[in-house]
Amino acid sequence: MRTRSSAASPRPRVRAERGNVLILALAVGIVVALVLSGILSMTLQHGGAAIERGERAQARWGAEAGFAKAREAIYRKRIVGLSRLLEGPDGMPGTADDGIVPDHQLPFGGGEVRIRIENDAAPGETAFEDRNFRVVVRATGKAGLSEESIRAYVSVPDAFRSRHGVLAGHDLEISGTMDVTGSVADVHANGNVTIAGAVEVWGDVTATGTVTAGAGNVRGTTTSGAPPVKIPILDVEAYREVADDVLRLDGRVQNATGAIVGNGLLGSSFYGWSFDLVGLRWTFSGRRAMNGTFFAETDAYVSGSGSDATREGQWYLSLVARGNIVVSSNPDIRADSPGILLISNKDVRISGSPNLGTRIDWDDLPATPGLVYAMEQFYIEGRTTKINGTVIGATSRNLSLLVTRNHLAGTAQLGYEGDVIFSDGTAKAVDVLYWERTSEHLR
Amino acid sequence: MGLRLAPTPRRPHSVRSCGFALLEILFTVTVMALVILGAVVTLTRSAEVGDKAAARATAAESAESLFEYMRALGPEETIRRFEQGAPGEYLLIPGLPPPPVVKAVPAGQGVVDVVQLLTGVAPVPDLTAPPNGQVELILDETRTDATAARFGCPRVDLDGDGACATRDIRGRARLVPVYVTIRWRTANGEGRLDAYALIGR
Repeated sequence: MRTRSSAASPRPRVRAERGNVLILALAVGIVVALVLSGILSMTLQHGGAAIERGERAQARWGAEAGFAKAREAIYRKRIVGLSRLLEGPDGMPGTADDGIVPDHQLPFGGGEVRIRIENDAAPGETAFEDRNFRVVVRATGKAGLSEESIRAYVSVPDAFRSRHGVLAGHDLEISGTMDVTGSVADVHANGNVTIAGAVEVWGDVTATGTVTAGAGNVRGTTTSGAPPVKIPILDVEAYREVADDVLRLDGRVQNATGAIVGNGLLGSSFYGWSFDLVGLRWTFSGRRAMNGTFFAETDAYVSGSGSDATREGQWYLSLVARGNIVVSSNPDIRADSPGILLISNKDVRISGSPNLGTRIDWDDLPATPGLVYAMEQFYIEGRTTKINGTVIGATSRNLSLLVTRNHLAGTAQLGYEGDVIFSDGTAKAVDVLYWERTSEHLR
Repeated sequence: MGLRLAPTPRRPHSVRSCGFALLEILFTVTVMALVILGAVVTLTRSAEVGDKAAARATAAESAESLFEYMRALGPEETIRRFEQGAPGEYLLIPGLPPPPVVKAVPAGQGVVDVVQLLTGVAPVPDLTAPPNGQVELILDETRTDATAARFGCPRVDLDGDGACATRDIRGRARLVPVYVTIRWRTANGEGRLDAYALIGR
């Protein structure tokens, strides 16, 4: 029994070993398959990542393209303020197109580009009113499932804030019962200042030459021999590119797209503007006016009120001229391009009783301070002339003999709160102050 | 005489177990063959994908470097150096073997090494080398072909005049659309990268 039992014992062990190699092979196969599937998965991920990197790169180039377009849009508006970009193409704040630049959404490299411009919300600004020539650009590029965005602060590099109510590049004379008021009512001349009559100046009067106060009442200090103040020399021609309408030398009117939209020849007029072929000058007369930023290739005369331009009787006008600017009537003008009232490449002469850049204490409407700029000299007089902003006579050049010296006279009132910023238009590009990039992949 | 030898211990054997070892070996060999085949396919595919990804990454980095270089140059200088017929139109990107069939380079124009170009070394055009990169600039705002359409043309104002009607923006360009094509051929086939950028001031 024992022998039989011992002879039968190997059988079950052999049976138990059957298929062991197969099981081992299967186990090895499973392990190898797992390792391979891991490698395959990593490989596919690697391949997917390569595609994703390519998409991201194109999305980034798209975002950078949008940013380049936005910088160009800002550059184009560098001299008329950036509020127009914030208001969008319709010029109305609070509408769907706010912050939208032309072609703000474009196909690009198989994806697309979106651009938006917002205000930097500096103190004293609203979402739609830029005063510091600085805005925030958001440009997003999309390619495949990737999105790359650039957010950047962009500014116009040559933005100039006038620190004086009156600034003359040469001698300045103030006479009559002229008032220079406001919190920044300083007067400066890179030459001599002569004050005659009962002139009231609330700020300081300084001159690189001599200040002669006479009977005038200077509430601040008077300083002779002061250091010269750098006065920006505006690139007047740059305004032609951004004007809503150009009053051309040939008597025709051209809009921003280059189309001829009217003429002022031979008894015709374009919203009150007519062209004097003999005197080679454009003259506005009457009450019917069109709001906008106008560039005159000749002298520009305003002898009408333009009071039918809006229901409030205000005329939103920024007038830039290659020649002289003469205002001799009683228009109530608010700056159409923020900060720009009158800019002449020669002389500015103002008389009558115009109201330029309404001030809140002069009527109930919001203040719209602006720049009155003469490349040569200015002469401001008139019974009730009111100017809210800064007056500049930049140089001693005398190509035009309409005005030969800077002179404030009569009973004019000039108020300035130091809030006019403008660009001289000479920059070749805008400044990028800060930027950041964000990316998103939607896979 | 009465002695009998004890029977030699023999491997247990039964009819049911006949041929089992052979089947076992066959199964095992089959499984291992499948495993090895899978491994070979996976590793080959992995190498292929890795190779393609590396080539694509090289191409994308070259395009990126080229765009950065152009941004530093600005629109006008970019036009001068890369427009049609200029030395930078056809490029040789090291590390990317060009495909056998490439666009013929006009006689005398040659191919410029992109590394020399980017490192400031005045590149000497190679009149015999086949290019693997080509630069195309859009200088006509009114172009309506497929390449121009990829930049949004003809709706893009490139010279800052407020309109999109200028047929040649040379001399007054503020934005230049740049289209770069890079082609290569490795052991795992041909590849191509199309890159689009807008160069501004």
